[in-house]
Order: sequence, then C-alpha cells, then structure tokens
Amino acid sequence: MNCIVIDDEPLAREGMGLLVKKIKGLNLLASLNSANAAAKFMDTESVDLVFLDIQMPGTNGYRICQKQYQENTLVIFHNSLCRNML
Amino acid sequence: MKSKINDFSKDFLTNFATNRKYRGLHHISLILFVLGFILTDTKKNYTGNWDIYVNAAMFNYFVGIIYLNMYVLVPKLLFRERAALYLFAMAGVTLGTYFFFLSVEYSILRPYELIHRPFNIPDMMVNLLGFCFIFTVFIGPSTFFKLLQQWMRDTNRIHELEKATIESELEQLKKQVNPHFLFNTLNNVNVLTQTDPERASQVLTRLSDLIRFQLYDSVKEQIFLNADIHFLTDYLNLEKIRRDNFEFSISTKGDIANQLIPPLLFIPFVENAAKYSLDSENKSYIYLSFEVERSILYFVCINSKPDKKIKPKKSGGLGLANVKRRLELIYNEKYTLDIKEDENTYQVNLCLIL
Repeated sequence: MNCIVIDDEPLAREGMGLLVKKIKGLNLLASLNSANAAAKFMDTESVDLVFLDIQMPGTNGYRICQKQYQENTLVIFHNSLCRNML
Repeated sequence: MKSKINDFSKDFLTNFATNRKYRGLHHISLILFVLGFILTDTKKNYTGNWDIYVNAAMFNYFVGIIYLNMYVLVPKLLFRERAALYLFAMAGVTLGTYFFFLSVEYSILRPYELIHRPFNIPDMMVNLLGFCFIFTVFIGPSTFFKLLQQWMRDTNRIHELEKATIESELEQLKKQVNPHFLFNTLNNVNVLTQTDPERASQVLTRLSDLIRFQLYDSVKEQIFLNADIHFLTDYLNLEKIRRDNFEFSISTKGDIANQLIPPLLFIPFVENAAKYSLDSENKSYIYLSFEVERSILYFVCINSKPDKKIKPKKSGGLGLANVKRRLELIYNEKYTLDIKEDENTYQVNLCLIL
C-alpha cells in the first residue's frame, strides 16, 4: 500500500515516517510539507493512503481531500497534538 | 511593589483622622472641646451650687448627643443615603433638647428660685436661636469629621483596590504564553530521541531554560535585558526546529548588558511574528534588533509574510492587546509603539524610555 505523509513541520513528518515504517505493508513514497506539494505529487503518482495534518498554513488540508476522493484514496487526518493516537 | 500598597502616602493630619490607633485621642479631644466650651461660660446664672450641677448636666447631655450623632444617626441614616431623614432627626433632637431644657427651667429651676435670669418672651426666642447655634457648633463638626473620615478611608480603599487589581492583571498578562508551542516542541523531541538523540538533548536543554525563565524569572518585577534576549533566542531556536526554510537573527547594539526591563515584554511580538510568518512552501524569516542609546531602548521586530495570506482570526491578536495593556500600565506615556505593514513584511517598532 503506497502512502504519503503531509505535514508542515519537518520533525512531525519524520516522526510519522518512523511510525509508518514500523507497519508492514505500508510503503512510504514521500513526506511533503504542504497541501500544494502533495497535490503536485499526486498528479503523477498513485497514492492509496494519505496521513494528513489538518492544521497547516497555506492551502487547507480539506481541499486536497476532495480531490483524493475521486481517486479512491484513503485519508487519515491527524494533528500534532494527538499524533500518537494513530 | 506589593509592599507599597500599605504605604499609601498620608500626611500627618490624614493619618491622625483615619488611623484607628488614634481613636483614644479622638475621644479625649472631643471631650476636652465640649468641656472647654461649657467652662468658658463663667456667668453666674444660678444660685448656690446649681451652676455646677447645670453645667455638669449640660456636659453629659452634649457629649451624649454628639455620640448619638456620630455612632447612630450618621452611620445609620447619613451613610445609608437617608439624608432627609437625618436632617429631620437632627431638627427633632435640637427642638426636643430645647424644650426639655425649657421645661426643666420652668418646672424646677424657676419654682425653686434657683435662677437669676428674669422671665420674658423675646429673650426666649433669642435663646432658641442661640441654642440652635450652640447645637450646630457641637453637631456640625462631629458630622463633618465622620464624613471626612469615611471619605478618606473610602478613597484609600479604592486606591488600594485599584493597585491590587492592576498588579493581579499584570500577573495574568505575563502568564499568557502559548501552550500549543510547548506540546509541539515535546512532540518534536519525542521524534528526535529516535533519530538524533544528541539534538534531542540540546532541544530539551533549550526547552528547560525557556520554561525556567517563564516560571521563575517572569514573576520578577524586572529582569536584565540580556536574560530576555536569551529567552527569545531559545524560543526562536525551538521554532526553527519546527519549520522548513526558516531563519532568524537577533542583533544588539549599545549597552544591553546593564539594562533592566519588565519580563516577557517582547515575546508577544515575537510569537506573533512566528505565527504570521508561517509558510511551508517559501522562505520565512524573523529579524530582531535591540539598541540602547541614551537610556532609550529601540526594539525592532521584522517578519516575512507568506505568499498565501493567512486570514487574521478574530480570536487572534490577544497577545498584542495584552502587551499594549502592559505597556500602558508599566510605561504609561513613556513608550511608543508603531506597526508598519506592507506586501511582504510586517514590522514592529517599539521605543521605551528606560
């Protein structure tokens, strides 16, 4: 299962990446720092699962989510305050 | 600062009138006043020892009336906003006293021929006026004294209350530092412990410095500017860990080391700068500058603005409102705050007279 992590904070991305790597069957394609960068990435790559931080500056996380529904991509929302509850 | 509350500057007279430890002196001076007034009238109006008896009776009566006025009528009527009733009561007591004296004179003193004064009507009328006058001389000052005392105590209390309110307000304002920042940093450290333990340890040291400063130093009335700058450096370093493409600089000029300032004065500006410069796609920066010249401190805080503008939230800006309130409370008129904004930058210029 191909997945990406979207978070504006570098260490939060790293932490999420570490958690994702621990789970067998998940293949981390990329860690991206904004919704726009993710949108660009997803134009070219097929992504099954997105870990999305809902609190980000710039483009809102919900907006990218609408686009992903058309592609049948799963989205897991999180924010930095309860990241460990994943 | 706290000790000053009780030291509300009073001159001797104010202190004498309001302080409860002088109560004994108040009573003695009152009694001497009445005694003096009665003893100055040395005319012999009555036969035998009756001058002494009448004067003693008068003395007791007047002292009684004055205490009745000060401890019953004034507190129960005048202080409870029943001034009309108070005036009625006063008039009643005056007339009552007059007719009581008159009846004593005509039922006891005259029948037994204890009095020298002949009886006539006009004399009686003059007597009534004189009596009212004497009565006013006793009652007026006592009421005036009570009012003055009450007024002085009230003003004093209001003043103290205002001071206490301001102080607690200041304490509250100081404590408003973002908890979100704290949790975020802890989460980051959590990640760093796995990827880069050495850096995690550095971050924890910074964080502990930062929290120590907020908990202990910020409670002090004044701190060294150096300590505050150190705190801001820690804060911005921690902010840098959280962000991509972020840089900051803090420059100082002049005699920074020996300046005393109120704590946490600049952090609201820096927090705001961090919040509104947030841009994950492009470079962002915060530049701070402190300059001391002729005991004036110039503080400048410049931050970049993101390409996509963050809509100002209504709940935001509390920090800025707080810091303005604090500046007003501490520096009164001795500061200027000027905020400039253009397409790409936001600049705060704060000038303090130290």
